[in-house]
Amino acid sequence: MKAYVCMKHVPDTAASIKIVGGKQIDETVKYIISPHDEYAIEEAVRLVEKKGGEVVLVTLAKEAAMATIRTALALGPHRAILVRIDQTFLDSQDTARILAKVIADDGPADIIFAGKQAMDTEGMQTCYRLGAALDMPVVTDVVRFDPAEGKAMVEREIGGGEKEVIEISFPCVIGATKGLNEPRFPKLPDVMKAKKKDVKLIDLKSLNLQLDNSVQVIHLDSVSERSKAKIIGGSTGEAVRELVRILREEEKVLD
Amino acid sequence: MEYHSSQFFITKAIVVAVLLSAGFSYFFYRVSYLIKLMLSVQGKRSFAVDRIAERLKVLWIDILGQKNVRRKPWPGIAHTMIFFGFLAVQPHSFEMMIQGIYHPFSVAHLFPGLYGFYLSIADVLGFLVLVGLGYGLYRRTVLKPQYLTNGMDAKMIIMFTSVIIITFHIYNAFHLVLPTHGFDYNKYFTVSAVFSQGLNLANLSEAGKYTGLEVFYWLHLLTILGFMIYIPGSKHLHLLASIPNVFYKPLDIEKPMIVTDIENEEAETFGLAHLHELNWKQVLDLYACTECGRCEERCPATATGKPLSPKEMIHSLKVNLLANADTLINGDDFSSLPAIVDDECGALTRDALWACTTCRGCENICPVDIQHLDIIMEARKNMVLMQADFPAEMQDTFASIENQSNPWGFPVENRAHWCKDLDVPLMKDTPNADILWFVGCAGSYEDSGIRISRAIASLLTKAGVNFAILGEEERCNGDLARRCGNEYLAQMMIQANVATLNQYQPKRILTGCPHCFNTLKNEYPQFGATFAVVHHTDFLKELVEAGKLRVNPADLGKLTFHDSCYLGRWNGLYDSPRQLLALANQNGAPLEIGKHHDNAMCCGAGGARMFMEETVGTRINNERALEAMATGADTVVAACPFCVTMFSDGIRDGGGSMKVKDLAEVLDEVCS
Repeated sequence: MKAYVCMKHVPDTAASIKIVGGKQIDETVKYIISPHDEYAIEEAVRLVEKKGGEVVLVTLAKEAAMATIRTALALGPHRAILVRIDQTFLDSQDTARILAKVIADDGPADIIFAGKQAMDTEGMQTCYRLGAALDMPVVTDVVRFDPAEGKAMVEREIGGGEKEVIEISFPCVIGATKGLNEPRFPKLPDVMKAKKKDVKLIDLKSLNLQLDNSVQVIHLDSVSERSKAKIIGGSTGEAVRELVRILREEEKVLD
Repeated sequence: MEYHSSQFFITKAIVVAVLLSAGFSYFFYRVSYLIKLMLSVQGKRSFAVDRIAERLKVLWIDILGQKNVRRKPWPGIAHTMIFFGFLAVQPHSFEMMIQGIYHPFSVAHLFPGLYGFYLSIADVLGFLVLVGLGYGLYRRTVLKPQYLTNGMDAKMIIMFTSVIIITFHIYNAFHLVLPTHGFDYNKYFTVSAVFSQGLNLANLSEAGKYTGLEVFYWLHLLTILGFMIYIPGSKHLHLLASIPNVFYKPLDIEKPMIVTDIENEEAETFGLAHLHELNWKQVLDLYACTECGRCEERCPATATGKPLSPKEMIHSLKVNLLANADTLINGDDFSSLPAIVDDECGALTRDALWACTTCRGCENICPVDIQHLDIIMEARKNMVLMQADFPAEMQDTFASIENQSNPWGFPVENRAHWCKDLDVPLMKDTPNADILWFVGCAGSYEDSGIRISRAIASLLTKAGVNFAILGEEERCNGDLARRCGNEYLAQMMIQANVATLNQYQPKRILTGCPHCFNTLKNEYPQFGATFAVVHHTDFLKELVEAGKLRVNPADLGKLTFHDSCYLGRWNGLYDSPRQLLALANQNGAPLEIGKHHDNAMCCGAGGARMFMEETVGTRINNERALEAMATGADTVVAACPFCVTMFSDGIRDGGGSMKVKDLAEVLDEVCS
């Protein structure tokens, strides 16, 4: 079984992001594996542990992603492919095209796992576009994955606490989300082994792909900080009077 | 048979010689087996055997002087009496053994003066053993403290010892009523004389007297031989093991954790998983334990109903070690050895392992200097590094430390936000500052920690100290990851800090947290950063003494002080905070909590417990808060942001109204 995992190298969700020059973010912050991709890695590794085969990590990023790739390799994938690009934001259509080409060249893939979305851009498109590019069925928001011979039963969240159960045949694209599994904590020997695992570097140009760059970042703005919660003290009567005053005078939601 | 017939003496000599050689042979066989077992383990010794003169001095004070054991006064005094008394009768018993083989042997006739002096002392000291044992029996049958193992073993030991002493006295009592052959026993025996009179031995026929002497000779000799055979297989092995164990104890209060070479690609395992990975000193620890339970009495985990008892851990390890002795000695397949941490057959269950707060109460009180934490912390390392098996909630904490260098996962970029509105300089702007203040994670991000940091900043400013902080360059000091077994993550933090510190070469480092203090002072030198490190309690005292801070005593109500484990037991710092509080408060010295100084109970936060769930038993912080509330003080003062948080929660849960402050906050109120 040959399983691919598309992993994105994203700024840590806890980092304080600064915008530089209106279009870029300060990339000196800590980068991590996009959290949903951790579920994808874990599921792929579990699948291959059970069925045998190989897990290949595919990342599209600047070379700085190497540290994140090593972290991910400690979680079980056998090797990785890093497609080197020199921009931070890449159109999801182009992303899918590049991933599809790299996986097809390296593959064929029996199954492709990815996070249902990347934590930085939250586009939620790559899985679908990748499936389309490779002519594979796609299920995202997957919270349960039961493989069988040549197919799998998957459960996906469809909102409102409802779940949908789908049978999907291989090869396919699985978009993982929270709840699918508990990603493992790497053991030190795994961290050490990961340092020696093969990471193939591919230059984007060498793929000879026609890219559209149809989506461009024009401007970045930081979200204004939410004002802090305020605790209104005093007796109930005082508190209510104060609340009304705030709603009327400060927030101006009452006349 | 005539008592004086040569046939009698020859027969006796043969029997005594055979018994003695059999007894001693068996004893030495058992002891050499234990030594072989001790040397069969493969763990690396983690300490240097140096400073021999100091070590001998420790033996002098703690073994011969019995000082350590008397830290628990009544049992300690009883032990001292038993120790000296038992020791005192040994030469006499030895003489009896020789006399059994060669009856004319008599030290009394060789050195009458010296012998008489010795006998008179041994006679009294021997009796003190009975007094001591009497107390022991009272303690075991009436007081019955929970921490004390009260099994057959203890009863056997009391029985053996008391029979040896009683037969010593009665044997001597018979001497008092028999011909003296030129040595007047009456001059030397006080207690034995009472036995003689009490038993009315003088009224016995001569044959009766000789028979009695002979009977008690044999009772004494056989009991000693029996005891000797019994000792190596019992907890009384401490008689032999405690002396070397105390000799090899860490001489300094400060004890850095063992550095694991995480880069070593040859290493097959990290930390401590199996019995054969113990080092010989740790096996000696196991031999030295007498199950006195002082550690268990101290342990905050045991006290709050957790499944950890340091005593049980040591005892179970010893049982497992002895049960697997042949495998260890033969050095064959170690894979059959039980794991040290195993819910079914280990010396520790997982819950027990993670219950430890590393407060070091156990090591501190152990009369034979067993190093419990060397085992617990190494076992944690194995669980995290080799098995990825640890409390689930720690995974997020580890990720936060790894990604944002603090356990809560606040942005590393915001590390200096606590002092945004203050004029606190950064090291990168003032690299020559006199004091590099290592603020710490709690001091940088956590509400009560920030309060403390702001108080320290205010005091430093008042005192005109030329200081600076690292801001974004600072990383978590590594303590909590290290004590949680994540040596890899800890070293990641430590190495980053070491590089930063070495770049600035600070003249002195100030910390506002005992955990930063302990790690920077005692463990950073292991990684190549050796600087003078001072905790704010000591530093504030210096500022006050130098007249840079003026204390204007105020009415602060009744104060009490809580000793942080990592200031007190780990670094011996007890006095400065108390002296400062006495200066600050018009009402004088702070009240002491029932358990204070090195007996203080942990707040429950150490050993990364701050970040773990506490679901078994009662909460340690709640228990400690109750102890503090029992003083009737208005405010409990700590010198650690984690203790402050734990107390705030504990007092709230206990329905108390006591205030919680850090020493820096108290001082800031009264200093100008």
